[in-house]
Amino acid sequence: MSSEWSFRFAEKTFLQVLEERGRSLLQQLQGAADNISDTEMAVGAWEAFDAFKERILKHSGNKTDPGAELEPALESGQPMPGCFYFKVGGWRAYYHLDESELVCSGIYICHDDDDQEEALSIVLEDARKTMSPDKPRGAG
Amino acid sequence: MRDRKTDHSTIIGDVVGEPVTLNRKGNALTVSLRKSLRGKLSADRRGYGANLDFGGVSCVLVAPGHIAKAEEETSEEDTVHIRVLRISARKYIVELEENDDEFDMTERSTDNNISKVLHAIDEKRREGSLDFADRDVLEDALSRLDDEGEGIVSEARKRLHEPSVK
Repeated sequence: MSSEWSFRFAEKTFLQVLEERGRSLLQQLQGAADNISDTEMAVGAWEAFDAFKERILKHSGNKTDPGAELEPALESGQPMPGCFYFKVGGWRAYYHLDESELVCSGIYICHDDDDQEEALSIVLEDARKTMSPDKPRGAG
Repeated sequence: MRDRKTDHSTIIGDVVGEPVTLNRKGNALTVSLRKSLRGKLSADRRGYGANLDFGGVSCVLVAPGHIAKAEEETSEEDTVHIRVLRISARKYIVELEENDDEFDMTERSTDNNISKVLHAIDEKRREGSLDFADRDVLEDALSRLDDEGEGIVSEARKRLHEPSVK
């Protein structure tokens, strides 16, 4: 078995969110038009997001010890097994580390201002669809 | 594989490891610590120990503890805590938290709803019903965003530097 870590990223809750949120920020930049205050805020928000995605890219290049760059995700003061994250500005990227298989999985991206209840309902709804009798387990 | 007769040091890296002699004393094990290793640990003060077990390899952490004293004598040392978190079978985090009463766990604790989301996602991952893409797809996604944003961001920055814009 290779001693290097491999990386993978959840399509819906990591990659898709990353792209959608990036595009949304770009739309805000365009929408700010001639309003200087809105433009300043939109540029600042984009720069924070830009730093976040640069960090994601850099982290995915650390094949020797990706866990060293991450903090454990705590739940009631206790670590959630295998769950880690890093924070850049208000952005958080969550990962699952499988130390036996040396697989680092990007699983979730969110911002401090996000409505997590809405995110939860989307994830649960998606899980229900996946588990429905019409769709076998493991299918797209 | 290493020769069994050679040194089997388990401390390599940023922390300097030094030889330590262990002695049996009845059912207990005593350790003699040289001055360079014991730092500010003192025989006059109570200490606490924790066994950091790395799946059969033991590493014992010894830290100074509290001494009951009058409130006015409380020293700075009494307001710090060494927090030890086991984050996996092979990894611990040992860190100093100053003034535990004021330590803001909210910064470190995962928001309740985020943890619910993470549990839901993790359940899907364990079931094998979560779709993953590899690093190339991430690079493509980020590259697309950079391409789309290039003109828009530079235009916005230009607007910020135009004095006529209100």
